[in-house]
Amino acid sequence: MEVISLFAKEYPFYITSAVLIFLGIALLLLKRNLLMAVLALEIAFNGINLLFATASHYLGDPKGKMVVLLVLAISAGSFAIGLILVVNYYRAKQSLSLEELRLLGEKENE
Amino acid sequence: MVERGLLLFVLTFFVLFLFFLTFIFRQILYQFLTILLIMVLLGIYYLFLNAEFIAAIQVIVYAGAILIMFLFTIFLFPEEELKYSRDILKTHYSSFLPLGFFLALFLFSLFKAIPKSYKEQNFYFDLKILSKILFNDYWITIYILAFLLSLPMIALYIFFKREERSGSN
Amino acid sequence: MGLSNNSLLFYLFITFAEIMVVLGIILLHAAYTVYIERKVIGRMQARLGPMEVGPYGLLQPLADLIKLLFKEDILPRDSHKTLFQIAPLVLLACAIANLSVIPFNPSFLIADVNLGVLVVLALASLGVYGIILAGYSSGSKYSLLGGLRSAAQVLSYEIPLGLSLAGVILAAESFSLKDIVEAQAQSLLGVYALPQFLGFIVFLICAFAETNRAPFDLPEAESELVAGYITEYSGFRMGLFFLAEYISMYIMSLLIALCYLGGWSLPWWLIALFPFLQALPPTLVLALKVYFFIFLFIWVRATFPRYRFDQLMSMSWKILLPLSLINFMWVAILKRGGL
Repeated sequence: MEVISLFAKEYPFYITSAVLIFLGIALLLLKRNLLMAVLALEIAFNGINLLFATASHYLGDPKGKMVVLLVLAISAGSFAIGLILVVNYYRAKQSLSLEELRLLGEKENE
Repeated sequence: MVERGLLLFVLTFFVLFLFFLTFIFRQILYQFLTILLIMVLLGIYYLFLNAEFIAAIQVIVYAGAILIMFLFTIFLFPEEELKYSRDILKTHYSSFLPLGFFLALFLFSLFKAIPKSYKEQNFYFDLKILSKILFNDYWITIYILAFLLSLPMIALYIFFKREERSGSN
Repeated sequence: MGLSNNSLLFYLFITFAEIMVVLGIILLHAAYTVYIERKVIGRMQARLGPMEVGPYGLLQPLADLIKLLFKEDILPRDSHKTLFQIAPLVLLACAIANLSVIPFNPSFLIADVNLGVLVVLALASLGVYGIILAGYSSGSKYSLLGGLRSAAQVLSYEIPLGLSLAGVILAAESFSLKDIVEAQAQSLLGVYALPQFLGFIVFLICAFAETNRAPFDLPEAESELVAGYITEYSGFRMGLFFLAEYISMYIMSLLIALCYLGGWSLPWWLIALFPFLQALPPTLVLALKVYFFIFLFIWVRATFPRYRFDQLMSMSWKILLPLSLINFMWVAILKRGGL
């Protein structure tokens, strides 16, 4: 019963945002896949968004929710750019592995 | 209050469950589906924070636009690229430790940083208040946002321009 | 939150009963729309339509249901089994959940959400996953192509749909469907279809595309893609797809009737012309408007040929999107002028 009353406060939002940020970083570092990396960044964004909204709700300030809307719009754009880069990279290298991502210029086999 | 606590408990349980499933699955498509479910559940979290508009936007923009874009991109790749081999998974599980440390530190600093006046304020999300702030005090962010959102279109243009050039050669 | 245990149970029971009533009515309507569609198209092509089962073929939907239930349920060998089984349910659930925010009457509404329009848009965007996953999990090229086509179509038509709804929201100053109808009844012309004619046309075209109906039924183009994402489905699961299509047809008709034609209210000039119309019950007025749009769906299916895919896409992005933006500007000017 005490756990339930704790969950009625702000703690579940903290736990979820921590889980989301953890999930984002873990997928980025552990899975070593470019496609997953782009998605992982979005998940970390979401965790931060949830923190902003929680603070805004419990402090009674609408600016936090405004930040969430702006971040949503920006992350949509950055996600599109990320996907374009991944598709282009796959066409050049025929691989999605993050470990083979050492190419900065166009020359490689010399 | 009991209903709120119970529902949030169940929701957090679901999110944790999906979080573990994300690491168990070995196909990107299934991982993607669990992440999609997490995103939709996040919309319900926003409902509990009295932010109905953000909840709707979360589902419409994230689940409806961004993740569908990702799904379309997944189908561009061959099937064997979308699976992980088993040995990669085994060697890297030890690196969960620093991440777990990070998570503990994060939660600790959060709980420590809670101000004393951190109580529920009965603040209801009002679009009119929000848009007044956004369009009067922070109008410059809207302009910056407009420029930023034109970047994907420019990137797409460059991408297809290069494709045309290499196609003609 | 302050409800005691008994009143909470009572509230849950009432909500459950309301859901059952709405679901029963809509399922009956969906079943008989199939019959009406075959009958009307038959008449338009100088045939009789179904005549064998029951008087005038009235028991045909029942016979179809029994046939679908007793057909063999085939799971293709190359399919992703779980996704294959879930996909039609996702589509159907997203179609049915829309009904919870739609008011059928000034006093009958399952969930009084103050963001009703956005809920409908959100569920429409979630329904796309059902289509894509059905296409992908079948493990067949025709299905994948059909699913991707359909998803691209639904996604690109969602934008003009939302923008034309934005005009209505701006005029009514509310996201709630009930408030939209009430604001409409008090507006100058009584219906939003007249001052926002462009938005009405755009919404109507997008409604056809969103439901994958006739001039835009590319995902199931029989001659090119066999049957699109439904190719590998058989038996009851295929029935679920058709059920979702017919229910979303009803939801789109309800949305048009509520947002553009005044819902259960009649415009004042119509009542001034024909005073006896005032005696009609509100639900009947709404139902008549919905039936008209359902008939329009069938009529268009019998009349128009199918669009090509590039024509479809360029129509959405090059014609409907600018038109809906112009409509939005026009509504803003009207609003500024105090109308």
